[in-house]
Amino acid sequence: MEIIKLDHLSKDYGNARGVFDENIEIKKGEMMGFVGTNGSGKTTTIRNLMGFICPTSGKCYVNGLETWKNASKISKMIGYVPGEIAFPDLKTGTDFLKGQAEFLKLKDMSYANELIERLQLDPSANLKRMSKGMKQKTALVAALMNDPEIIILDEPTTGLDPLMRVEFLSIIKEQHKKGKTILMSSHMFEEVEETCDRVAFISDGHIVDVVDIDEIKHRPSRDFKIEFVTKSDYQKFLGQGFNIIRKQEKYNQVTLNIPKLDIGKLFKVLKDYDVKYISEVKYTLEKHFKNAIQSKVK
Amino acid sequence: MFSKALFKQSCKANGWMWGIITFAICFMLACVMCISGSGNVGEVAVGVEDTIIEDEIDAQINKRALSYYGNTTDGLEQFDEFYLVNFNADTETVGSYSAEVDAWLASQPQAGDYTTTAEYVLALDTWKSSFPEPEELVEQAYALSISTWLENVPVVADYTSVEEYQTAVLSWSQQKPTVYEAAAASAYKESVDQLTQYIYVKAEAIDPSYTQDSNEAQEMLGSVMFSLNPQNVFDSAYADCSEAIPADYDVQNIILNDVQGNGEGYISSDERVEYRRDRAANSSAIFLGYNMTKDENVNLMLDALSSYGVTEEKYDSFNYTYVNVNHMASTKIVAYQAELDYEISCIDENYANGEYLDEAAYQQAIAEKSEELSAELTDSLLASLPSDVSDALEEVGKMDLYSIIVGSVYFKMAGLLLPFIYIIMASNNLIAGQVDSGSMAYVLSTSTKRSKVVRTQALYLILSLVAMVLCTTITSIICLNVVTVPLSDLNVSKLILINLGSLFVMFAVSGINFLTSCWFDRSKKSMSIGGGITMFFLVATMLGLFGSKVIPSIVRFDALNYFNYLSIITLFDTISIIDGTNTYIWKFAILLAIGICGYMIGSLRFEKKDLPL
Repeated sequence: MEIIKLDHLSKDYGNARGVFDENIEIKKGEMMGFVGTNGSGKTTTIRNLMGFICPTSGKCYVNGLETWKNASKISKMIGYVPGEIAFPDLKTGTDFLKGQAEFLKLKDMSYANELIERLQLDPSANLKRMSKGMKQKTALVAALMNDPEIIILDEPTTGLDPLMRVEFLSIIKEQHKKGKTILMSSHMFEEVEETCDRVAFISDGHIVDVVDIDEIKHRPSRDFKIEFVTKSDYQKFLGQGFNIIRKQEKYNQVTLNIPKLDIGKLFKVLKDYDVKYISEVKYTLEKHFKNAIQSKVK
Repeated sequence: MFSKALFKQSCKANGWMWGIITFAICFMLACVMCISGSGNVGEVAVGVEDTIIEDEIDAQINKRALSYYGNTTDGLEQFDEFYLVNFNADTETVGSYSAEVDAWLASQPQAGDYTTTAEYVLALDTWKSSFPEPEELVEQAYALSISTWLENVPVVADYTSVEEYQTAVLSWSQQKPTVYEAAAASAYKESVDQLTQYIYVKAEAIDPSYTQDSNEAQEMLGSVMFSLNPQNVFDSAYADCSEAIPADYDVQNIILNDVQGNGEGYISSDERVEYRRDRAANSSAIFLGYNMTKDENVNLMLDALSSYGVTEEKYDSFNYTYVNVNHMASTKIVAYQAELDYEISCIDENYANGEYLDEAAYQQAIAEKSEELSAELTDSLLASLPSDVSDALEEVGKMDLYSIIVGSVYFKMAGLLLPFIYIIMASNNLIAGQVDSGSMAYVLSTSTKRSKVVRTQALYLILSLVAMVLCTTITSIICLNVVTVPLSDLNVSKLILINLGSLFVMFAVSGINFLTSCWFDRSKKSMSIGGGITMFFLVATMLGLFGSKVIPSIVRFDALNYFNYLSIITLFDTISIIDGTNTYIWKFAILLAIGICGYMIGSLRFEKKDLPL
């Protein structure tokens, strides 16, 4: 059953800005990626989900509750890490986390402390002087400390160093394993490809495509790029009846698409050729969405 | 209803600012109340009053000097004319009389005509008793001088030789009184009498109540006579002032010129006019100084000024000594005469150019000019302003400066500045700042309702203001008990009302700022609009103060009062509170309503609007 549902959600800011007619369903326990360039409407969608803004038309639901009208009820279930990290005017991270616990009426801080330890966070630091990473960690602790069912992260890894990003994502993945529903927006394809179950691609306020990562990872066919030493081999290979998708005669290169099961057959054929190099051309999410946009434009 | 956690957070976020500002305003309040209450404040009003009084006295002195001078020159001119007429008439009268006397003298019995001494003595007695009876004043004078002269006839027995006797008789006969001497003396006397009458008539013409016995008429007469100094009656007065006794008033030249048939021409000649002016200027200044420093006049003046709080000591400090008054008067007279001469020369020139239709128009132009000049030179500060002298003085004297400084200047203006800054910053921090930065997201993502958030923030803002005013109330009550201010209506209950009033103003202003904070997502906008309105109110009040009723009417700029209609701080009616009237109550109600509206509309807007979090 879906725990988050966008039903023809539109928020029109005028001048073609905003989001338009979004339809997404996220199942319980699913980790959803939300990809798009800057200004494509990711944050607007999330604001609608949090009930911070009122949709122009359409509705969105969390756990069956309309978000604008039930903002305070649904926010209990959601751990939210905003894209722009700005803390209240308090002195230290500890002050902030204690305050959040108070807001959440959370008595037991053991889970929060555990998170702090995992993240190697020093919450006693001055909030204003915290580095971006520390702020992000603090915000994550604040979002997770009451163990919410749904976690919404708005570009959580932006501005983090690569090591920190890995650490960060691993914590999110862990939450996912615990059965939490996660919605993470990002403008980096690799990131969502690595972590998410499904990815929605948003461009100019429209959801272009929603893909299962499995579909990308476990595609029935693969692409290979082969370069031959001699022109005669190149010419000969073209006659072998493979699905050639690109020819580069100048370099004696071909790119071909071949079903997974036929890969053995390809290598058998190539045994008789003088191959300079062979490599698999990876089919990435980015590529997928590029294709999707192109096909949409067409 | 309210979120405890959010309230705590707001306290932590704004507590420092609150503390610093509260301390600052309490400290300022204590300084203002203690320093202005330590006695200097009353002296300011007195100082203003003294300046006005001194200016007024100066103006009076100048006015007096010019009127003495004018009166004296006029009087002397009249005297000259009287004298000329009298002298001529008397000379004529005494001329015929002297002929009779001469005839009588010629008819003196000679000893040789009588046989016996007894006969001669009898004849002599008869002759003596037949002395022509003098009728007119001048005749009497002449007769008196003749008889005195006759009594001094040399007696043979007194001389040792015949020659000596003859010489004595010769010189004696040369000393025979002339008719001119008698005419001169009697004309002088008559002219003085006529002049006295002339002054009395003139005085009554100015004001019917200036009768012969009135002080005004006597003063006018005095100023002329002082200059004339007949029979040296004022010598002692001149001596008192340690001034040189002026030479006797010159009639010699009138007589000389008259005998030569040029009397009329002489008394209107430049030379004579100059003589009269100099004499009048000198005597007027001395007379004024003499009058101003006479004990009885000083006492009269002190009586008149005592209602404005001028003591003898203070009057002495104004330093109206004889020398100063004399100097002031003579300077003013010289200035007046010089300017008048210049103006008249201009008028003369115009007259020569035919600008005036006739002699009358010309004379009128001169009269107008001299009046205008004397008005200009004697202008006082108060006379040049429209309001009534005594009213203005009274107002300044009764001004409760302490209440004005504490009520209208501190609580209504200076003391509001820092709380306003707190209100602008805090109300922005509480809502718009958090929405703008995005930190509001943390609050709202913890299932805290927006209505609860906005209520809590409003509660925090209001309570912080109440606490602030509580601190100033306590401070002000302590200060009022520490200092004792004479002549002030301020008491503890009024002070509490004033503090309450400042709370209402702050409440209304905080309502407006809270509204803008809730309305706008950008703190830039919220602050510039809310803060702009707030500061406008404050500045308008500052400007409006100079046009408000607390400023004495003589230095009030009525046009600035319009600013008071532009500011809601005007609804904080400190005047009404201090005067003990009830008008402040409905004004408080309006302030309360403004504040409530601000908070209500702000809350509704915040609950309904999109938040960019």
